[in-house]
Amino acid sequence: MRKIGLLSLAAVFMLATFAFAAGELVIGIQGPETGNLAVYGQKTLSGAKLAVDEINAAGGVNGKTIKLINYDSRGDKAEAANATQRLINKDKACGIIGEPTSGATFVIGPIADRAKTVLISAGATAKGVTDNKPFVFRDTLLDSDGGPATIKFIMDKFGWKNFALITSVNNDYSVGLSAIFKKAVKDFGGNIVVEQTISDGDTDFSAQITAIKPHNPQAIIFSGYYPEGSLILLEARKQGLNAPIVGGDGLLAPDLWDVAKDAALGSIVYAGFSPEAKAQKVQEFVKKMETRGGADMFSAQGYDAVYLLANAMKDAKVTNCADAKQRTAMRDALANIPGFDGVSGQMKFDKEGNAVKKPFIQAVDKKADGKYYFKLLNE
Amino acid sequence: MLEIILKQLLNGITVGSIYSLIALGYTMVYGIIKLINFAHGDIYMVGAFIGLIVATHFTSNFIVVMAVAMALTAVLGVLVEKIAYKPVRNSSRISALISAIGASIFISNLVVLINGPQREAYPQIFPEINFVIGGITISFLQIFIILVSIALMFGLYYIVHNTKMGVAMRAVSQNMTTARLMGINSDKVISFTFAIGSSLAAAAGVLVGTYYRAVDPLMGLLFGLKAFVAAVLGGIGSIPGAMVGGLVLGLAEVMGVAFISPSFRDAIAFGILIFILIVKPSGLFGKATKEKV
Repeated sequence: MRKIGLLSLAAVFMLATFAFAAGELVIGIQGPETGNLAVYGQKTLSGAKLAVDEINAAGGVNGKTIKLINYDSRGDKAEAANATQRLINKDKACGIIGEPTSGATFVIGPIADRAKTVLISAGATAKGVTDNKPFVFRDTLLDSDGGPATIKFIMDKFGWKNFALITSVNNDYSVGLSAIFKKAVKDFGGNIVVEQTISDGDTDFSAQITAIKPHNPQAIIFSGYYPEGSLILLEARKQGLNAPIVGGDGLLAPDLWDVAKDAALGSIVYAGFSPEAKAQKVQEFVKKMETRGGADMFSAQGYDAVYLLANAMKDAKVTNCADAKQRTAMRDALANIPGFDGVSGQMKFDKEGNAVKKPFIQAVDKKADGKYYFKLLNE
Repeated sequence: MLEIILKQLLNGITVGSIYSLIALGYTMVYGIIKLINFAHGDIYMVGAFIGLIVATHFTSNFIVVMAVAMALTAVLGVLVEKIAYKPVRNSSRISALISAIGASIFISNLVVLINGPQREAYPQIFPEINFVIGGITISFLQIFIILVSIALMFGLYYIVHNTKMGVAMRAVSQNMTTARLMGINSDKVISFTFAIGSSLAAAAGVLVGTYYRAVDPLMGLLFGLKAFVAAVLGGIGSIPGAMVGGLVLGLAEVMGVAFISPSFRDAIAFGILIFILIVKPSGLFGKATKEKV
């Protein structure tokens, strides 16, 4: 009896010491908060902040609260590397949510990997960002998942078979995405009946549309960005070609209909997030983000990244992030997460640390009051 | 195939006739005061925006939109001349050129400041009607743009050749000092030239807006440069040269995009410029016709 009493006393004492000694677990977040790409970093940060506030309000992780430390990399690669070093060495971060762009993630990935600290990018999409770096993950929707899923969806739902493909040849994103679309159309038994190229910055697409029109495609796949997308739509309607355009999140901007107006109706784009999703989780997220700058793909991915890290910390029972063993256990827990239900969709990680997720396929539609919006099609 | 070639020809002539309208402004100003007015592209852009404001807030009557844009832009052209060029008219030509570049940067940034840098949708002033002749679909808008351009160019030709002001313009372009000795108010003639050139650019701006249905504050830069190439191609200083140069350039561009590669669009335009400067620096109509306006 006396022994048990002593033991329990010791246990209580030990617990108290732990809670007292290290009350916080640090999650680092870095990205451009100023400069050209500021909107990416700010959005990711605002989503991450919401997630941290929620977790702490619910009692934290493993009896500790989470502290979010953010550094502004200004979109500069050298600055990004500095921020990562600081988070690892000075702040002893358990994990880093890092760099919404691919370029900077290529730079900081190896640093985090060498230091055995988990890094999740909430935005990088380029090929190979996570390859051969066990500690580097991303929760972004990849075009190699989104493109084929979208093609399959529109072919099944609308019965479209014949597509025109327009690529912007001076845009890496467009060239890469076109290859994905082309393969997907072939794999699912459709035809690319005509291919045309443009350049970013062009305004006159009359020659391309004239060349496409006689082939009468059911849809025009355009892999570039919205400024050219809206002008292509206008030109197509002008020449009496009524096919909608289909593309990636490069077209996902209100500017598409600001310029193209009704010509944009029916255009199909996929993305890693949709505020229109009916899931309760998403609707709550959208509501909470209203006072924090609005919900979008970057804030959703930032929010999910925090929960992914927190879940991994819970699973690995992380209490002290200065301990490389605990960080490695956390990395293993994250890599083996059986399936995570985030606001940016269901996901799990492949063996390279890329999120495998389904795209949100959306079509431009018009509300009764004349306002345009992206209507979610696949729910 | 034939249908596509004919359709692409039409696309080329449409773009080309817009280049011609802008090129006329370059060529007229150069003809009179030997200045390459680099702000001309931005004046064209302002013309397009004035048309946008009139069409969205006041009336979508095409004639009114066009007339207001042309009138106000003419005033802007004269203002630019009075503020940026007149004070340096007797300085070296390089001063005037730098002043022109300054005016260009000032105007485009002013519009960015007021409007923001984004592209703006142009209201549909003109219904999109296509009609079919002999199996070929023709857009009414394209035909309309070509006709309006031709009408404006003929209007200019009439002014230059059949009015008192036109005679004065030609006299000043031949020799400003002598013209002044003959009692011609050269300041007035120069202002008039800027007004006419700017209003033609505004017309081009409104036509581009109705054609592409979008305008942006930086569109003057590339369109202006292309029109400048057209003017050099035709022989800078020559009015028929600017008209033909614009058409040739528009056709070369569209045909290049359609049958070679769209990546060559700008390469073709500036390749033509380099070729002309090497082979025939005076341009197609540079010396053959002695009319320099």
